[in-house]
Amino acid sequence: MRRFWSWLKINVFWVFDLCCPSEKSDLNSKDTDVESTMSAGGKKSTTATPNAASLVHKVIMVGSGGVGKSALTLQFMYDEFVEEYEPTKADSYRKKVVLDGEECSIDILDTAGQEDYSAIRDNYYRSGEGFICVFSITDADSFDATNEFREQILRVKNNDTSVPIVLVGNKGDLADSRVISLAQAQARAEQWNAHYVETSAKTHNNVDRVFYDLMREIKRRKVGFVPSNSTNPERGEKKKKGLKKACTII
Amino acid sequence: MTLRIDSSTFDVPFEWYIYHLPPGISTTQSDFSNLAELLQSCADLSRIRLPKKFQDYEQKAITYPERKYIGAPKSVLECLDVTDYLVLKDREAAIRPSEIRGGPIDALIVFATQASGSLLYQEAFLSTYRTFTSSHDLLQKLTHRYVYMALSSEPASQKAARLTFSVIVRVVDELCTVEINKELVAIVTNFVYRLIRDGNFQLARLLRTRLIERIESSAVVRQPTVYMDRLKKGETLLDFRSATIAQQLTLLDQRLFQAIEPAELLWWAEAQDEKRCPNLVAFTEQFNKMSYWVRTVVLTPKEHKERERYMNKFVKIMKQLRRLGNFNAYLAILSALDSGPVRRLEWGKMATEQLKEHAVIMDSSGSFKIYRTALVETAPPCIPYVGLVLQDLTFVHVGNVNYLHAEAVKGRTDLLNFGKRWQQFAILDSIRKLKRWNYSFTRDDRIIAAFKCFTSLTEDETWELSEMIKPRQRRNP
Repeated sequence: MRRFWSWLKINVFWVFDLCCPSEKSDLNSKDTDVESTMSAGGKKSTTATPNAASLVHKVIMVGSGGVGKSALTLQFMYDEFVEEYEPTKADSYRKKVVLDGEECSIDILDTAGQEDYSAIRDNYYRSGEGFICVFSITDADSFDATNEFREQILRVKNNDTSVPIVLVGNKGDLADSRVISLAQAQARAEQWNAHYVETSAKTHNNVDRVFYDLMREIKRRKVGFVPSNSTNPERGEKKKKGLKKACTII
Repeated sequence: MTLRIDSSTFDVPFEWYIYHLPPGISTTQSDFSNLAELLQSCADLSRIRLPKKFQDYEQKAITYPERKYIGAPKSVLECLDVTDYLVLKDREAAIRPSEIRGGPIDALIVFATQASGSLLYQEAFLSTYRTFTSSHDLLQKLTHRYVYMALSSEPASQKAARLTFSVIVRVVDELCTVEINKELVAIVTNFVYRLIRDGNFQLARLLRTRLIERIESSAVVRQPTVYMDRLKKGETLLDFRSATIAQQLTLLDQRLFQAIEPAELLWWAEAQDEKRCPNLVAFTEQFNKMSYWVRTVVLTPKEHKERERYMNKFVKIMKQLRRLGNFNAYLAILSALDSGPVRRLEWGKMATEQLKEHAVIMDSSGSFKIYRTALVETAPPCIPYVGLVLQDLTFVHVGNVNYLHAEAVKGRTDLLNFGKRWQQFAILDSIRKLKRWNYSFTRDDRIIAAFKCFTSLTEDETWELSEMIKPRQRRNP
């Protein structure tokens, strides 16, 4: 009985903690972002967050275990040399970036290591605004799995095929043991109406590109849905997009 | 009550293990509650002290010391004190455990047997050595050191031999099932014969007993048989109290959780090799099974009212699990009730609201800050969500170099980055502590039978079922 009360106390504090204003500022900004994607009308988003710096793009890394997802994330997060990396730190997966002259943040959810906890994936995917679907060009199974990952994403996103996804073939530095050809991967990306990029987390090749491409697409979806409010840079972005369908060969 | 580490806590004589540690128990009683603090100072790499000595040649694995001419150079394994080979934090004070930043593998091994080392370093070494050497090679090197040290009758040398022996006992005690093979057993038994030949019957017997106990206890844990006939006709989950159901689920989880070897977590983070991590795989499977089972039970009834009853029941069970500190089952059920096929259907206000309240625990912002805080604030016994442990270990593994960067250590490439191991140790140590606790419920086969072995539909099937109940609205692009 005593335990129950102490538990209750902890819980009450915990709930209280969540509601306390100091914590909330962060949560709040995120909520409005999510809302802005949810409501296709989206007028609210541009008026509620006029400051682009507070714009957070939520990106989720998906793919089988061992394809180098975490290495890609780390390469992007810390392009310079880190001596000591502590994943449990609260800011480990958030980074401020300048996207086409505008400041914004990227929040990366990379659950590398948890891949086998398949039952919980749905819940993670729901918060994602854009997805990076990674496979290894040296592992055919991981390439096959990308279709399943995409299906799961679409299902969670209510079959909205316009959800931004980038297909990424990692381990480009191991070209000798390549089993998935460029054409194969490109064909799949085309089928998905997505981009295909080949990366190497090892040599840092194309890593930034993947994240920036995806962020642009997310941003375009977030802001671009408002016909009356869309600004010029956004339109320019759309034009560029058309050209970018081509793939990158390393 | 937190126990702070001061020097008196870690200077436990290593002989202590031999005489005071019950066999098969792979834990010490010490509680490194200020580990985080110690690790803090470790993160700062700005100033390190380089080794005074460097190993001249690659150490070959030698079983026993060769006869050497007098004055032949000693190998690192034969040194009484290897401190000079290690990379330390730049401070002139006496060595503190967190000051070990790196070093050649053999020096790190020897340092774990040195009295001038510390219990904390020794623990960190024993928890993480598998990331840089195998148990087989480690035992080979330790037995080599013991035999060499035992040759001399000098007190310092004799002491080193004793300390080395106690580490050997620890290593044998904590061997994993997958590591116990012919070659490894041969090393230990040869060493036992050697001890007998030297007249050390007591030590020989002790080591032999420990090895046998380890081999016998190392079978993979399986859930015991479920007797379906215990359940009365027509009896379902709804006939039992939510609290008792939560207790039974927790008992099942506890068995599997306690069977996980810390080494499995390390191996998983490195290579996700299922064969080497049988207990971890079983625990993960149970999580998924439970989650899909809950979806199945909630979606299967034809009547909406019946589905709602199960929904409400599971919300209650989930709350009980949270109260018990079983985050594994708590998240398994939460992930089910909050999964696509279930949450898209209409549920009562109570269930919807409570679900929303609980779902914040899975919020990933701030590196899962909400969950981490909740776990820390929960008094044991508790069962953590191991998925996040695996994620942390994966990122520690990928995000930190194995060997110190050559430019930082005079171009040497053989100096292991022990900072990475301190981090791995901090994570494993928290799991080790939680594994020690037990829930004091008794098993109830009747309730366990009501779980129907967690038989469930596949993910696709639950979606089909869900869409049959409530057809999907067509999206107009």
